[in-house]
Amino acid sequence: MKEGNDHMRPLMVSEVNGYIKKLFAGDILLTYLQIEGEISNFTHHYSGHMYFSLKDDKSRIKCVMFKNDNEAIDFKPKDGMRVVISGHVSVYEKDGSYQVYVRKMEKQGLGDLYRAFEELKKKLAEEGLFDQERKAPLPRIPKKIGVVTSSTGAAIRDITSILKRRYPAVNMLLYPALVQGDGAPRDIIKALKYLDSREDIDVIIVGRGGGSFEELGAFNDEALARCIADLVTPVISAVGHETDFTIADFVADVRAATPSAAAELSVPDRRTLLDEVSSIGSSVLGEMEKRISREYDKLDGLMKRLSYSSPYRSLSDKQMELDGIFRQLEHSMFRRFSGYRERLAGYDARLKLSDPGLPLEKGYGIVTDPDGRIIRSIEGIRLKDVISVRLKDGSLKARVEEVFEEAKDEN
Amino acid sequence: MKIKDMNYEEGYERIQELLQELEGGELKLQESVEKFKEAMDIYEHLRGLLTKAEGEVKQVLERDGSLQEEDFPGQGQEGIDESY
Repeated sequence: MKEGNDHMRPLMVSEVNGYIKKLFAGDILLTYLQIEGEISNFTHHYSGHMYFSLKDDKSRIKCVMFKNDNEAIDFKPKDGMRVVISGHVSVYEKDGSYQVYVRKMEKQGLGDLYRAFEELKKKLAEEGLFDQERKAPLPRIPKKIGVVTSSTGAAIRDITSILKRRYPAVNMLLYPALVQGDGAPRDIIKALKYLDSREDIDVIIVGRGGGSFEELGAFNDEALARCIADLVTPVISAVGHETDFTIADFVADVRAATPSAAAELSVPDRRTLLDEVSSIGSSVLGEMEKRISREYDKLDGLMKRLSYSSPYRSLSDKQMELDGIFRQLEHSMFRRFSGYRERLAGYDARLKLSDPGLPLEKGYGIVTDPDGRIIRSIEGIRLKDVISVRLKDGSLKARVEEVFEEAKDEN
Repeated sequence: MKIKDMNYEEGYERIQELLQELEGGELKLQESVEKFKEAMDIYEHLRGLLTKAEGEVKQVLERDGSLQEEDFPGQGQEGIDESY
């Protein structure tokens, strides 16, 4: 019952696992291999690493793909997806299990279609159709946007709703087209050429919602790619989802990840523009206020210098000019900048007060309405109106109790 | 150009010009009031453009061999196919 190797001491578990690991590492096949199969038990760990199994109908193998490597995958792996992975097989000593350490992962099974795509992409790239210098810049604020997509798809619905939200003033012209099937490329080309020929279209969005690689096939058509490259009007491609890339995307002036994103790229957010216009409006207002304030100071200075001679006539010309201007400003201006009218009324009142023809010192008073406008006549005054009276050392608020009209015998 | 015909960029550019003239300080008072009024009229117009204006949404349709523009029935239409 004794076996031939029982003279050896028993090995530690870790020694066995270490030994197997060395065996694996020495095997030429296991150090680099490609495996095709279906993903199952996929988890994307919060550490960034991916853990899953690859299976066929008889067997499965554990796989791990570290963060550094899986960042390069241009699609979202999920259970049931058929992929080709490459990497090496090694032993995880702690568990005594072996697994594939995956370095690369590609979608599998698209076969001819995918190869044709890669070949066309390479050909057009070599011709320079994707070159950055060919790309036209988008207009900042287009007046009219041309759209080529299905009139019944989610894409046009997304585009219209985003345009309405972001920049409702923009016009949109849809040219409905088939977006999948054999007739689709021809249909899309006809629509693009028509919109490009129109003078009033500033930018064109062409695309559709997400679909399988086959369903997006129209956008991998060579004739369509060449048509897009020839268009004068800037083109935004908007095909499928984030992770779908088509030939149309490479050749368009701008690639948008989705139809919604295309709509967002095509117009500015009106809130940004509202901020911009409010800001310049305030600057204009501020300039005008500075100007008025300067005029006031000039007038004030003149009055101080001249108040003991006889300035009345020449100054009153200036005063009348300013009066007129205040009235114009008040009439023309605007509800939006709150407080503006009040400030204006304040200047007006200060001007009036600085008039040397009204010697407050001698006991005269200036009567104004609640807006600071000087009341010169009983015309328009009604009982119970509130008025302010400015005296030499302060002012008071009063209510009108009675109004008497005077006989017109003064000059 | 009439203010009501200005698009956003044209209007904004004109306000910038007016602002520069106002800042230049070489205008007579009455002139500066005119410039100010113009700037504010454009300001109102641009705000209207951003807050009230609604662009048209149309589609090109082929009818009897010629292309025609019609209103595109916007939201809430029947028959949206989510797969597109």
